[in-house]
Amino acid sequence: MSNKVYKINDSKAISETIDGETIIINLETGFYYSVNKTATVIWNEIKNSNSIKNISQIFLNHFEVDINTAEKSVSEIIGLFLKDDLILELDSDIFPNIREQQTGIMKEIFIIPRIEKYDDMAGALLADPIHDVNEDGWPNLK
Amino acid sequence: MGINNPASHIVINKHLRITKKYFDEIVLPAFNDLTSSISPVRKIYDIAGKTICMNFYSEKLLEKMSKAFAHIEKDSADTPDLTIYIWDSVSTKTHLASPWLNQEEYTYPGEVNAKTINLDSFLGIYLNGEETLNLYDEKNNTAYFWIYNADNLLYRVSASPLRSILNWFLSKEGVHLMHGAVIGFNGKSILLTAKGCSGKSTTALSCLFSGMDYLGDDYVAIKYSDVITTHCIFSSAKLSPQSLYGSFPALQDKIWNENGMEKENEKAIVFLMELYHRQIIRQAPLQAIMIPVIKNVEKTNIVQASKIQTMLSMIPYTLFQLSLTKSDKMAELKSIVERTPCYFLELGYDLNGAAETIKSFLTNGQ
Repeated sequence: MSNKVYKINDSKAISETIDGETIIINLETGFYYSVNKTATVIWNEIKNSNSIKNISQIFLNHFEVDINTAEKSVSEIIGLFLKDDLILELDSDIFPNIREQQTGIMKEIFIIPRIEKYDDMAGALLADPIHDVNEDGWPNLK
Repeated sequence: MGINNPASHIVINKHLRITKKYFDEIVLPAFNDLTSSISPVRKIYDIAGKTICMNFYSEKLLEKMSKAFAHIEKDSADTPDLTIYIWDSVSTKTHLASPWLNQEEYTYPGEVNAKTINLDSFLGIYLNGEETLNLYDEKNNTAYFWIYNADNLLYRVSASPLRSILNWFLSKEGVHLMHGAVIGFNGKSILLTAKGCSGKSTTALSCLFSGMDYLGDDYVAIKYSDVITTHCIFSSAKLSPQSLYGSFPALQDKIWNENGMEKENEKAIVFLMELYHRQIIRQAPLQAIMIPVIKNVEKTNIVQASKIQTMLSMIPYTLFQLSLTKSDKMAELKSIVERTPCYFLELGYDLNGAAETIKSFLTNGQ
């Protein structure tokens, strides 16, 4: 499992978390996203520059989930964040620093992390044809 | 030389963020020429508790841009919190060189919706589509609005003029201009927030016709303080012609832009102050946020909405429609959502029924 470190792409993505769920906006593309509670855990860990391995261990420590499901879920969500330029993969690894937690702690039911993407604002931003001014000069466009 | 430089420069069809250098080197000298020959018509307005002076150097722009503010005009000798200078080149016979004549120095590269860096206490944007220049000099509490030809001012700009400048100025004062409609009753108000064509304007107007108060149907302001208050900035209504003719026949002969709707493929605009001045109120405490949803049902229902659903309805449109909005506005709007009950307004067929449902909600103090 990868120890690559990921961080938020601050130049493009802004986000706010409310009631444990998150809204992310890509200021460049106009796409925006709703992020459920477990995917918000991943997003918030990436805010602290963390790795798939560490985030998966956090899920194992706090949720009723097996290692395969945790790692697959984290990898998939990070893949989606990467694909849309919301996060960046750093050129460095970190050692796993999240340890397995002692037993006896009540764990939460694990809900598969999900993000929903909305594209209704994207059209306005993507329209970018080039045109000339007309014979009257600026700003009279053809 | 003509009114504008006739050089055929290529223009990128997107909003352009303007530098302070363009303001200092091009706009200020042109503006000084203007003021040496023309005396403006001065209007004073109370916008969310701030005194704003608008100096109109063009009669056509006065006619087209002051109607939406009729409800907040005041006679006052107060020192304004902001003075906005408004003119066009054609009617004033003045020249203003384009910001992209010297692209590297006068405009910023990249996307205007990217995070704002306000290094000079100055914000400027040339808005593609409406072809207007909007400049805000925070240090001197002044702003400048320019269009080449007042005849070309879009009707939709008349419905909510100076959005960019007011957004920048009010944000600094803890007041947030945002995309939404607000209606009131019994001394309280409800913010209706949703994407376009979701029933906001129709609901707001049907509430007005049911005797409720009206604070806006497209852009409104919200002030975050101990008591969150909504503020009416533009006393206009904007509706598709079909909705207006079908649902509000009383407004048919009140459409302001009847000749322009077809030309611009625009919505119908009605200025409400002269017609319903008692119901146009300046402000009210915010009681709830509602997301209108058109449902195939008879009766309108109000059901709980999650905070994240409310944020999704409210924030992207506000951030993207108001250019150069600082990204921290998202955190401030979140604070408003956190403190306010949020609902879906599931709209039934009967518009009057929807208004009565909302009235009952506000009366029963839910």
